[in-house]
Amino acid sequence: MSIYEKIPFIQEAGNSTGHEVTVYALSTCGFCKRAITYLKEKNVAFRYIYVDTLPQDVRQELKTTLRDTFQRSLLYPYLVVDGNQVVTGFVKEKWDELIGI
Amino acid sequence: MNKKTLEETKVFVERVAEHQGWKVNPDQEFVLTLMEGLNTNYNRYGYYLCPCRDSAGSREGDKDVICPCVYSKADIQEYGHCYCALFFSPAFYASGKEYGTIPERRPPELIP
Repeated sequence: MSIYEKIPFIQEAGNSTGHEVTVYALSTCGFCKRAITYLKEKNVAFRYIYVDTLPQDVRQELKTTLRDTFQRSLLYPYLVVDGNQVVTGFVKEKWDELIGI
Repeated sequence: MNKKTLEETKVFVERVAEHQGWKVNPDQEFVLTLMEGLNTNYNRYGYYLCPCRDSAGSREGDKDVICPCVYSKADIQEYGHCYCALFFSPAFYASGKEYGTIPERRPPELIP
């Protein structure tokens, strides 16, 4: 079972932008909340998870997998587009460009 | 472990700002998220872990990012606000400038 199958992602059924959009966030963080609210307002189809709410073993496995895959520090919100492009931090222009907003 | 109420966490934030000569971000909705986040973290971990950073799983691993984090002074000096945008410098506060994401000053090897 891949780590991604163990994550109870929250799916937001908006309009597809033609990209697969995943957001890893912290439930406690202001910019994470702002980013998720922004995608909802733009009616983008995406999925997200609050990493800090995951059980410690799943959380560690996820973080190790993300770090090994993308070679980037885990800063939040952590956006993955099409499983191969990453933006860390909510920089709206970069998110718009990658997601196709 | 004693739990903190949201009210106690608000007092903590206000005291930190006063003690450091900072201002609390005037965006009340944004700050409420951060205060709730700090409160959640205190009640989870037993200390005010920065709400914008994940725990390393131990106090030792988190010690540089317990609010106010060791990076806050430099960030407030350089960008006008801390990494979370909870605390502002008085000048940034007075300027009315828009706050936003700033670079992470924490060394990558310390990020869990």
